[in-house]
Amino acid sequence: MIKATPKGDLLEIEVSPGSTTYIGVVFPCGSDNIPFAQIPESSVRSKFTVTDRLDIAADEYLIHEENQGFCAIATWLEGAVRKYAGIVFSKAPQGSENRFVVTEELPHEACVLWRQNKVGVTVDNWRFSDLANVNKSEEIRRARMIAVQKNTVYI
Amino acid sequence: MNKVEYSPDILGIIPENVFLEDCVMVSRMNYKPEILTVPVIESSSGRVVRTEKKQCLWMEQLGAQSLGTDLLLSGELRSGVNCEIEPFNGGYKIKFPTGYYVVRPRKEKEFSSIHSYMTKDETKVYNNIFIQKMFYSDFLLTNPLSQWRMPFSPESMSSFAVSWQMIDANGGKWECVSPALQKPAYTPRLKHFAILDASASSVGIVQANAPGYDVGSHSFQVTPGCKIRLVFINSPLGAKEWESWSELDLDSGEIKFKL
Repeated sequence: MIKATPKGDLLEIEVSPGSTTYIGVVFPCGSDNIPFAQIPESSVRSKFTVTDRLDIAADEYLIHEENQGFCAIATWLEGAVRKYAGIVFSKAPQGSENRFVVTEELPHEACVLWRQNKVGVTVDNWRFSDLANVNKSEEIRRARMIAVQKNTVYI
Repeated sequence: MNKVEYSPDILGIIPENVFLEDCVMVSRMNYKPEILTVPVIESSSGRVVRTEKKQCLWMEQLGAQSLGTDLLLSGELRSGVNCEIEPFNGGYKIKFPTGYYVVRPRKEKEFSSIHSYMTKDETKVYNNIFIQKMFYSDFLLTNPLSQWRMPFSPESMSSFAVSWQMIDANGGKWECVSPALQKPAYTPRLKHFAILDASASSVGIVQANAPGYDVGSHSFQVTPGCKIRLVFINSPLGAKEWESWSELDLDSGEIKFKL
């Protein structure tokens, strides 16, 4: 279970006890068009806050410049099966009461669903659930793939 | 006892950057140029005609802490060279040619600075450590360490900044919020960083010709000409996990910070 509530500058996230939550960006490419491999912010708390405002107190901070989609993926074990649940959120339009808005809820099936971003002949295959790790190899692989896509030569 | 009052001057911090002492690091991003094989596509047909080796650029986030670079960051910040600082979302972005750091104002009771500074009086060397800009014993007497958020930097001794969420060997993040929420292996860190405790192995002078440390005066005797290293060691579970040091050259009186 994951539940997110925008509250002013913060996004309050609540997950089932025993879950670990990972927070990252959906499409890891910066304003300068440079792909990046990120360490997903991880939290073992069952209730915590997220913001991109660095001057207010929160548990997790987002440092990305863009108004790109962010996601928070909670993972836990049910028996011997690893389960996922997530949300996608982004910055709310200017003038909104809250800084963030939740745009999508991701049940387990949506988290483990393979997604494809095809550019030319190269395909970036990825899943939300792959973000839920403490190993950066998947993020590095994806940044490298996006770099290849952005540097594809057309003649 | 030769107790020194804290000032940014004695640590060589240029006035423009003093505000960074109240900041902690959020993250570090490094540019990563790499030669990648990219497809060359014929636009009219959409076919791949060949591949090319091309230098591509991407960035890698290294988290809030990267061992071995904190002091380098600090050294450059002290002298104000090779970096640009610009406001960023209520914090600051510290730009270097190889990447950038993002720092934010510290929260209440969150560690942001610890510095070592040594002075000498002939052959007597005085050990001054400042925590949060206070002489360490004063700080520890008035502030129980366990109440502080200590995402503690292994390299923090002479560093500004800046951060301190640990990234463990597996790439996972350890943030010190309360002992109950920490990974078990790291819990002892809070107990072991006990400067006031003379028997603690966490901080001590381990390389000197005649260490003989006097806990009362925070001083020790040395022979002329010898070099002193003040070494900080963190030893959770009895195993040395990190150390950092500053050095005092008694011939020149020069204090060197490890870079």
